[in-house]
Amino acid sequence: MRFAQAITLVFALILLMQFFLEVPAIETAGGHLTSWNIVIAAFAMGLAAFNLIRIHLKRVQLKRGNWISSAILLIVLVVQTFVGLYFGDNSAQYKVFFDGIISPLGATMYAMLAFWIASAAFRAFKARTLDATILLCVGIIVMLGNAPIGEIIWSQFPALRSWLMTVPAMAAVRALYIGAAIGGIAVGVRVLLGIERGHLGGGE
Amino acid sequence: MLEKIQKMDQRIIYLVLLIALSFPMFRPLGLPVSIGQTSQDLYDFIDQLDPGSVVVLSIDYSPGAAAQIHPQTIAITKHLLSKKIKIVYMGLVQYASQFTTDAIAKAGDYNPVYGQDYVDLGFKPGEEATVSAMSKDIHATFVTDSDGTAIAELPMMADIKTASDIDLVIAFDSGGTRHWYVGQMQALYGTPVGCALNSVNVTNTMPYYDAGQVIGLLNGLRGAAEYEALIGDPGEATINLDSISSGHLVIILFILFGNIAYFGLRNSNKRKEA
Amino acid sequence: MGSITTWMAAIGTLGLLSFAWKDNKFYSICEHIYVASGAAHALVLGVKNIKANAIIPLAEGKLLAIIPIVLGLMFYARFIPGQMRWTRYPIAATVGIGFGQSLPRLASTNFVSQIRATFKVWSFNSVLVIVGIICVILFFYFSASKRGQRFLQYPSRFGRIIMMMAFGALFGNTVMGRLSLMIGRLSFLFRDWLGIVG
Repeated sequence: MRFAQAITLVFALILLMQFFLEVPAIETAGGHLTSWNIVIAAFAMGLAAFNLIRIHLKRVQLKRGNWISSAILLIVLVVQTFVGLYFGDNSAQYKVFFDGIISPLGATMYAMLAFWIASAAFRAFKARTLDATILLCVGIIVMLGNAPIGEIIWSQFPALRSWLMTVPAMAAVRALYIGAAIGGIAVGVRVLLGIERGHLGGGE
Repeated sequence: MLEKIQKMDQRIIYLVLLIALSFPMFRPLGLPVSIGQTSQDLYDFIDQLDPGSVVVLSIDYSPGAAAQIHPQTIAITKHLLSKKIKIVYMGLVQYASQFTTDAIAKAGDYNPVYGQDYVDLGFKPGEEATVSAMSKDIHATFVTDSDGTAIAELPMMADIKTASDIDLVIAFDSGGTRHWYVGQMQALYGTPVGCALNSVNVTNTMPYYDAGQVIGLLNGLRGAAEYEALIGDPGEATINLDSISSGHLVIILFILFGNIAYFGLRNSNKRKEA
Repeated sequence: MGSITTWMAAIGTLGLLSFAWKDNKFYSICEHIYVASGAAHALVLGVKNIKANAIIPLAEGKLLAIIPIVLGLMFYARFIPGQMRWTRYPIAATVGIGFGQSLPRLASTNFVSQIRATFKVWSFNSVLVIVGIICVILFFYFSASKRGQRFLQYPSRFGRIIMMMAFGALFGNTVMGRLSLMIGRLSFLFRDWLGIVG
C-alpha cells in the first residue's frame, strides 16, 4: 500500500513541478509519464472484454439464466475481436460490425431516453413549489428558444433563451466551477498526502 | 377523468411522441432557423483562417451522441475543405476513425488528398494526459496514423509538431474532453478552442465561452442546422430540425397536461375532504 | 432497402426499441450483442494503441517503454486468484498522473480565469452574474453559525433561484438532446432502411 501511495505522490509531484519549473530533467520525466499513461490506459481498455468472457463463459458452462444470450455475446466478442485484430479496425470487414452493431445499437440505447424523458415530463415535472415552477418555466422557454417553432410563436424566444443561458445559468455554473475547483484541489492534496486512499482499496 | 389521464399507460405517451417526431419527416414544415451568437462566432473564426491553416478536429463522441454531433462534424468539415484548411482528425473516444471516414465521405466533392489536405490520427487513450502530451509533441504521442502509417511519412505533418503549430482545435465532445483542451492547450499554449457539443453539455460550457476560453460553440442538432445554414448547404440536421419543433411541442403539452391533471385532482380531493 | 449492414442495424434498432413495449428475449439478445461489440471494439483499439505507443518504441530501443507495459499487465492480475493487490500499482500511477495534470488546470482555468472573467466588464447583466455567483456560493456555505445562517437566508435563497434557472436551462437543452437521438433512429428506419422518406 505504501509503495503504491509513493507512486501516486512522486508521479503527481513530477507533473506539478513541470507546471511551475522549467527544468529539462523534470520536463523529460513529465513527458515519459504522460506517454506511459497512454499505454496504461490502453491496457485498461481490454479489462471489460476479459471480465465479460469470464462471467458469460461460466454462465454458458452451467447453462444458467439467460445463457443463450451469453453464448451469442461470446461469439460476437470473439469474432469481432479476431476481425479487428486480423484485418484492422479501418477494414471493410470490421466496418460491418461498426455500422451494423456498435453505431446503430449504441444510438438506440441512448435514443430510448427520449421515451423516459417524455414519460417524466408527464408524470414527474409538477410545479409544486416556487423552485420547481422556476425550473419548469425556464425549461419551457429554453425548449421554445431551441425549436424553430418557438420563433413563430414569439420572435423573442431565442433572445430570451440566449439571455437565460449567458446570464443566470452561466452564473450558477461558474459558481459551481469555482466550488468544484476548490473541492478538486482539496481532494488532490488529500490523495497526495496519503489521507485519501480509497482508490487503492482493491486488495483482498 | 383527471385520474384516468394521470394513470394513462406510458406506452401511449411513447406512441404520441413517436408520431410527433415522425410526422415532419413525411410532411416537412420547412421552418426557418435563426443563427445563434455562439454558432456565428465559431463560423466567423473559421472563416477568417487563411488557406493552409491547421485545424484539429477531435472526434470525441460515441454513437449515442452521433445524431447530434455527427452532422456538426460533416458541416464543419465541408467549411474547412472549402477554405483549403488542413485538417488533423483525432479522437479521445474510441469511435473517432469510423466517424472521420464517414464525415469525409459525406463532405462532398472537395476530393481532399490524404496526407496533404487531411490526416486521421485516430483514437488515442489516456484522456487529459494525451492532450498534454500531444501539445508538446504530436509525433511522439501518436507515432502512427489510424492505418498504422508512421506520422513522419505524412507530408502534411512535417510542420505540425506541437500545439503552437495548430490554429484551432474543435472538440466534438459528448463527454468532457473540452475541459482538457481548454486547460492544456488554450491556457498553456494559447491555442484557440472551439466546441461542437451535444445539447446536455452546452449549459456547463457557457462559463468558458463567456471567459473567452472557448471561441464559439454549437448546440446539438440545432447548432448543426445553424452551421449548415451558415455555409449555405442544408443537410441532415436542417431536415431533422422540423421534428425537434413537433417533439418539443409535445413534451410541453405533456408537462401542461400532467400539471393540469395533478392540480385538478388535488383540488377536487381537497373539496371532497372539506 | 439497403445492404446487409443496414438490415443488421434495423433489426438491432427494433430489438432495442421493443423494450419500450416490455422486457423481452429479443431485446435481451440485442443488448448482449451490443455489449459484446462495444467490449470487442475497446479491446481491438486497446491492442492497436499498445502496439503504437509501447511495442514500436520498444522495438526502436526505447527501453523505458517496458515500464507502462508491466504496469498495464498488472491490471490483469485481478483475474488470478489471490493476486488482486497488483492492480493497485497501475491505478496509483494513473491517479498520480491524473492529479498532476488536473490540479494546475483546475486552479487556472476553473478558478482564476473564471473569477477574472466575472469582473471583466460592468453592465446590468455582469452585476447580476456577480451577485448570482456570490449567492450560489453562499448557498453551499453550510457551516455558518446560527446568526450567520439568519444573515445568509436571503442571499442563499436567491442563489437557489439562480441554480433552478440553470437546471431549467439544462433540462430544456437535455430534452432537445434526447429528442435528437430518437429523431436520428427514426430517420435511419424511414430513410436508410425502408426508404419511404425522401
